[in-house]
Amino acid sequence: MTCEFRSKAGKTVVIHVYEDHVEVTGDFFTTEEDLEKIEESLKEGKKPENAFILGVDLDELYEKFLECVKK
Amino acid sequence: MRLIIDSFYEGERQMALDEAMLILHSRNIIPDTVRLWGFKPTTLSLGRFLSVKDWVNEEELKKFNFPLIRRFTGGGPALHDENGEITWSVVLHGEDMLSVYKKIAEALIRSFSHFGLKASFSPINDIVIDGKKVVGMAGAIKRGSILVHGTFMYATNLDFMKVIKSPKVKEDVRGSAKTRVTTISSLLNSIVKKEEALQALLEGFSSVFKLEEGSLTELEVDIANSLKFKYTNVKWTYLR
Repeated sequence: MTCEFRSKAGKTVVIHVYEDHVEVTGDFFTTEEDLEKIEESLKEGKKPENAFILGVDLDELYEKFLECVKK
Repeated sequence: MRLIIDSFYEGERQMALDEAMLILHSRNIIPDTVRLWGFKPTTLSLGRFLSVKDWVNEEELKKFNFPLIRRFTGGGPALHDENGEITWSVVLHGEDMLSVYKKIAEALIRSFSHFGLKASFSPINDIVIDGKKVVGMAGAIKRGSILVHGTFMYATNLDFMKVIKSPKVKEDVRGSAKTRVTTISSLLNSIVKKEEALQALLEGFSSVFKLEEGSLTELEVDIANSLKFKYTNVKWTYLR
């Protein structure tokens, strides 16, 4: 399943939800380590914490992820 | 601050060199640096966290025969026309990427004023004139060092933008890649030469940073040569 959204800061995020993992892609800025943490939390259905993405708020990302999996 | 006026080379050399500079700067081995350079041949670069299937029109890319390279920096896709863009990199100490974008934007806004153009910073990482993007910046951070590189499109062929595909949510708001960017030549309605663009960049960066011309160290070149393989490896390019 794939869902896309524009963040409040104007970045484009595409969330790919697969059976065994979640992939978050987009034109934002973060580190590989933080993105791994975020994808791992989402895979477990949890809100990501202790990570930072410049251009995408984590609450916003989690909300969009939940909307995506509900579809 | 060291100034390197470099040549135009393949994307793999340029990305490897920028990554080597970030690594060495984060270990305090090289000084703060501004590097002016370019892609040869014309290349499509992709941000570290973009997926090829969402952002690249592979059919058009094949038609133009442009190489595709994944950057180690975040941000969007960028088409680098070897005959219409000077690319630049800045590496310095910092923790806050947004403040570095702002500082570099100050320099580049001065560069546009060389042509009588009034540009402005559009957070997070763009510089625009009349609502159209003229510079895109992309950065990465490592152990308190930040490297930002970006475009300075003086005469990019905008038809090449066809190789960029945008997700629908972006295209609905911002339009296609071709319509949301412009170049200095288009804005002035006359062809700007590379030498003049280089002069404008030097003026802009000199207005914000105290520059002293220098050269790359052997270590930077050696590490860059060792990193080049990553940027020609399809597993890296198609990582996402």
